[in-house]
Amino acid sequence: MPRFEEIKVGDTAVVVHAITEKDIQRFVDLTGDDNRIHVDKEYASHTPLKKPVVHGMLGASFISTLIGTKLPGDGALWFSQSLEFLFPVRVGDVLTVRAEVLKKHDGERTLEIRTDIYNQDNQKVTAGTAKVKVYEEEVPKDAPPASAEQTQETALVIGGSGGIGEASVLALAGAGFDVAFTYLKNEEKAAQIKEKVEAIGRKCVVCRADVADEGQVKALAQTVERKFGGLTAIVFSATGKAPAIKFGALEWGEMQRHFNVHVKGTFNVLKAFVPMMESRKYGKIVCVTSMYIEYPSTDLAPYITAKSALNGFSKALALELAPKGIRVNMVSPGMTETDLVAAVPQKAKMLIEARTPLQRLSQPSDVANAICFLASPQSDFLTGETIRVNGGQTMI
Amino acid sequence: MTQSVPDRVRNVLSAVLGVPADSIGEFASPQTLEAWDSLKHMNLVLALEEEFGVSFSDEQMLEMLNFKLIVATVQEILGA
Repeated sequence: MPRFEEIKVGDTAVVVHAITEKDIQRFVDLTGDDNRIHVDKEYASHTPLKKPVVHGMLGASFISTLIGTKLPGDGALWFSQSLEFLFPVRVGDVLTVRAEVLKKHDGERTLEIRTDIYNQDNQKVTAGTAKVKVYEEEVPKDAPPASAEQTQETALVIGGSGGIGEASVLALAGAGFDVAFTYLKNEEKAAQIKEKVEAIGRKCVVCRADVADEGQVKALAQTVERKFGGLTAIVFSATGKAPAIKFGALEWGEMQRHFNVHVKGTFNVLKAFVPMMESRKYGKIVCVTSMYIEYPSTDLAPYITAKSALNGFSKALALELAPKGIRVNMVSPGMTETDLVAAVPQKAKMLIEARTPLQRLSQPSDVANAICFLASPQSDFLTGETIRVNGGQTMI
Repeated sequence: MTQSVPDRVRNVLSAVLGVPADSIGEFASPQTLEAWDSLKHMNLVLALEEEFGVSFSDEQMLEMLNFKLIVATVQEILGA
């Protein structure tokens, strides 16, 4: 969160939000605006708009989020706003609210900020300008001096609503970390996980983010920095479906999809978060790779290739970041009982169990425990290392 | 009353390996039963083929790594 003195003309910030039916319902419940053009599909179909249109002020309300939490953030008092609604917004649209400082008046401590909203097709749906006064907290004279030392351990789990991700979030919370995590689609499950973390007594921040999108990752970094003030550990457990595809039928798009999650996503997140760790001269990065990069299975080329690239990327960074106090390690699970393998035939799972010295599949908690160890100070003399959580299937 | 596939497999294993049927658990395998060596495994395959009136492929024989997998393989062939 920048202080007023640190804000410059040209500074920018973004907030991204995907509009859902639930948003419309909440807005109607809160404001009472149940105009049929917004809520009645049949009615809307008989208008030139053909489909319901999202309340303009619902989209515009995210300008408040942007001003109140990012630019300038805490202490902002919004005293003027112009708005033009240029293009209809529909349920399912992904809105990107962009703010840019146009003018700064030091004497009055005010900012003039351009606040435009774009949809997923980069069409400007709302244009406007905000005027904001910035107040700062008055620190009591006898308050202890602010310390740069962060004492509370904090972790960010990328892909926290998946099987291994959820187990990692809960294990880290159990080990005393405040935890932020990202999810892509499953908002309901993300909310449940947040409740579980808070029940443990730890803070939890949930962010919907596609980490292959640089803008969304920047917004994520601003949120985490604002809520936690810094970060001790980052865990990459995001993954996508990995259907079995023969090479003859494989298209590059499928390869790219896996690279986007495992390599580009990791790249974007580390670009945004490593500077936070560098400033503390300490950080723990844990990447979830896969047993299949050392013990390949047929028809999984995109998954295996992208995970192998992640393995190489992690080792390269382990070397480069070690002098800065940042450790980069990997956890390599065997087949783990999560939704991702729900479609694998039962007999195939039984064969893997029978060929595993410890005679069972990996559980998400097995992987999470190894992740937790690598996020903790107990593993401070490890970097570039891989913990294989596969019941003894690969012994290297 | 007709015996279930798992019970029939267990009885065949018991007879071929010379161990009590109740000592054969779901994860019984050559690693857990000393009597289950490679020679007995071949006898076991023949006895199972006779018991169920089926013929196992080479791949299916290799997949018979424990009691549970033998049951799954037999059920797969019988369409049970």
